[in-house]
This record gives sequence, structure tokens and C-alpha cells, in this order.
Amino acid sequence: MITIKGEIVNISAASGWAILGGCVATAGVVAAQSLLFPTDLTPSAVALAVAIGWAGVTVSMFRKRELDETTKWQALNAETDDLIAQTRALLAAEASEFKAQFDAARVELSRVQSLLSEAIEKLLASFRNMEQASRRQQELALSVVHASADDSGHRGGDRVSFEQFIDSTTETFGELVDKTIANSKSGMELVERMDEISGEVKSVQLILEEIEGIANQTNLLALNAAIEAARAGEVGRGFAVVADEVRNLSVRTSQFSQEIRQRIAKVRTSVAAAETASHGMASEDMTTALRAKVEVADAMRSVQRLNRAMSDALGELSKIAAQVERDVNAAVTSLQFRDMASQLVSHVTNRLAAMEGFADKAAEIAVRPLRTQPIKRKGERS
Amino acid sequence: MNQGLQAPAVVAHPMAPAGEAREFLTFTVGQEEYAIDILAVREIRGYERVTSIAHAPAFIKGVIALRGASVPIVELRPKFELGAVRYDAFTVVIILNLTGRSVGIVADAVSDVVALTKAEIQPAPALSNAVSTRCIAGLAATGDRMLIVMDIEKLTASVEMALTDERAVPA
Repeated sequence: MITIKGEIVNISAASGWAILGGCVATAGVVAAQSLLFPTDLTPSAVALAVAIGWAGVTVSMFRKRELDETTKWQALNAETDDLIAQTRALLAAEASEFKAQFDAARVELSRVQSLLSEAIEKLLASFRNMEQASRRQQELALSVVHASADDSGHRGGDRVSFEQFIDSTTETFGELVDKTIANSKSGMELVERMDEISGEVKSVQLILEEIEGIANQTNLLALNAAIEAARAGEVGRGFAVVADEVRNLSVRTSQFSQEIRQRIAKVRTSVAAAETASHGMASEDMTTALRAKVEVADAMRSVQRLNRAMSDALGELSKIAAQVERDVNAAVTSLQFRDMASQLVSHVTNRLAAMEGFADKAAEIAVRPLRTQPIKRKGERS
Repeated sequence: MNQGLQAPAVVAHPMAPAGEAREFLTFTVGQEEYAIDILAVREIRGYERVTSIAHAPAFIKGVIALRGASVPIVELRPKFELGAVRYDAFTVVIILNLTGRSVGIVADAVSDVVALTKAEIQPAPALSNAVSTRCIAGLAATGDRMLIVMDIEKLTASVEMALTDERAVPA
């Protein structure tokens, strides 16, 4: 801003100093002339005239300067008015622009807020769902793990675990194989017993032969008795009858012996068949059972390996599910920035309102009535 | 048993008028059954090892010691031309009393003592003078079986001849 008063003071001070200077200069010139020309008055008069002339020049110069200042002031005033008009126009334009911008900003801010809260609601909902799904997954994995683990006691008590199933299957099959092997051994013993029976039957047959021999000899004896009886004639008749009876007995003995022999032969055939059968059973069962035992043991081992791998994977899955749940919880917690964002947005709105106030004030300045007179110098007439 | 006890009497009694019933010992050689007068039989023995005699003909099996006397054993079966000869538990030696001397004949088995009358013995059909018919007295049918009844005298002669001949030959 131009300090018009100060300039005026300065200007008058300058003209004062100019007059003083003129006087001093004049005095100086006079003194010099009196020094140079002490006897001659003319030079003094000349000097005086010069001094007066000088003073006149100086005054006219001041006069001219004063005129120049006035025109300058006028120009300055015009310029200032112009500037003020421009500034006011600018302020008015700015104020309306600010208002529009502030309105837009407010609308946009409220949109941002609504968008944020909407998105966050959605995010929260989906995170909650995610958390539930993850928890469900974890529960499932845990239940499967517990079901397949050894200690199924504290979860599904009535469910038989896979390990137990494998153990019991292996055990049962082992028992079966053991039984089969025991059977095979019994079969071998049976074969031995059959051999013994065969031997016994053979000895029975030998004894039968002996009996048949005795019956034969008895027959001969009876015949000889009959011969003796015949030779004795009528006297030997009774003896002949006895001899005949004895012979009949021997014949019956022979018949029985034959019958026994036939039966024994059948027994021998049956025993031989049984021996063959049990021998076959014993040898075949043994090899099959042993091979089956090895195969089943292999199969059970691989099933166990599979089960263990599955159990491990499920455990891992459970851990991952827990991790997911924790992460989701963290994300939900992080989503609480909504409140802070909302606060910040309201702060921004407040600030906008404050700034709008300033803008309004600027607009007021733009429309406030101006002074009609231009700025005057001090002591200048209007 | 009682029936068996009565049997010889029943057989003998009806035959009495037709002729005296005599008892015969029957034995088998090959498929056939032979009958021989029981009074000619001294005893029956199981076949046992005989002592062979050097240079004896095929049908003389050898001799056995019988209560201090040696008895020649004659094998009739080759003589009867009845195929292969076998010796088993049933093979017997029938010791015969042939006019004061004992001769044993080998049979496949002894079967029975039967009573026959002269009427029951049919004469053998005159086939030829083949060796097999020389010693046969006749045929007797008892029940369902046919008995060849041997003529003791002819048999004796045959055996005697064989024995004497064979004895004569080496001399």
C-alpha cells in the first residue's frame, strides 16, 4: 500500500532542504566574492543577483516538481481504482467458484463416505462368511483327524478309528493264518496217525491170516477125526458127528475171517483216501496261508501309510484353516478404520465449511460499497 | 447143528436097502471135486515141505517123514493134466493106505465127508481109455454138485505101477 502522507512530508522536507541549500549556496557565493573581490562592490551585487537568480530557479524547480507529483497522484489513484475493481471482480468470481467447488466437494465427500461404509459393510459380511466357512472347515478337518487318530475316545467315542480297524483286521487275519497253520500241522499229525492206522490194519490182516490158518488146521483136524470115526465104524458114529460140528465151526471161523478181511480192506481204502486228502490239505493250506499272510501284511502297511498321510494332510488343513480364521479376524479388525475415515471425512467437511466462510467473507468484500473520492495529498484541495 | 448131526444118518438110512452106504472123503483138484473111500484114507495133512528125491519123475514130489516111516508124495495134478499147480494154505496131502503101504497125494483142498451108496454112483461114460478115466469108478451127484468117485484099486495099481516103474527105470 502507498503511504501517501509520508510522501507528502518527504516532498515538503525536500523543498525546505532545497531552499536552505539555495541560501547556503548564495551565502557561499557572496562570501567567496567578497574574498575575491574585497574592494569591488560590483562583484557582490553580481553575486547577490546570481544568488537571487539561483533561488528563483530553485523555487521554479520546486514548483514544477509539485505539479508533477499531483499528476502522478492522480494516475496512481486511477490505477488503484482500477486495481480495486479488478480485485473485486476477481473476488466475486472466486467466491462463486469456491462455493461451487465446496458444494461439489461436500457431495463427493458424502458419496465417498457412503461408498466406504457400503463397501466396508459388504467386506465385513463376506469376511464373516469367510470366517464361518473357515471355522466349519477346521471343525471338519479336526473331526476327521480325530476320527482317524488313535485317541478317538474324546471325540466320536462310538466310531471305530481307521487305525483300530487296520489293527484289528491285521490281528484277525494273523489269527486266521495262525489257525490255518495250526490246522495244517494238525493235518500233518492226521497223516501220521493215518500211517499208524494203516500199519495197525496191516497187522490186523496178518492176524487174520493167522486165524484163517488156525481155522484151516482145525478143519483138517476135524476131517481126520471124521476119518478116524469112519474107520471105527458104528462105534465112531457119535464121534463123527462131533468131528462134523468142529469142522462147521472151523468153516464159520473162516467165513468170519473172510468177512473181517473184506471190511478191513474197505477200512484200508478209506484210510488211504483220508491220508491223501489230509496230506494235500496240510501242504496246500500251509503255503497259501503263508503267502496270504505276507500279502495282507503288505497291504495293511500301505493302507496305514495312506492313512497317516491323510491324517497329516488333515492336520495341516486344520492349521491352515485356523490361520485363515485369524487372518480374517485381523481383516475385520482392520475394517474398523471406517469410523476413523468417517471422522476424518467429517473433519474435512468442517474444514470445507470454514473455508466456505472465508470465501463468503471474500464475497462480502467484493460487494461492499467503495469510497467515491480518490486519495488526496495532505493539504491538497479537493 | 442138529441137522448136520442127523445128516449122515439121513443120507445113509434110505440107501440101506439098495446097498450099504459108505463114506467118502471129497477133495478138489482144479475145478473138479473128487471122492475117495474114506477107509482108504489114513489121514489128511497140510502141505509141507517135502524132501526131494534125486532122479524122481515129475509127479513124485518127494518123501515126508510120517511117524517114523517115509511116505512118498505123488502129485496127481500134472497127471490129471489140469493146468498150473499152486501151493497155498488150502493145499493138503491125503495119506492113503494102499494095500499095506502109505502114499500121499496132493490135492488143492479137502471139502467134506459124504455118505454114498453103490446105487448113487453112476458108472463113468466110456469115453476112451485115456489116462484120466483109468482110475475113475463112477460119478455121484449129490445136491447140485458132481463128484468123481475114484477107483482105489485102479488108483493103487496106477500108483504102484508108477512107483515100481520109476523105481525100475533107474535100476
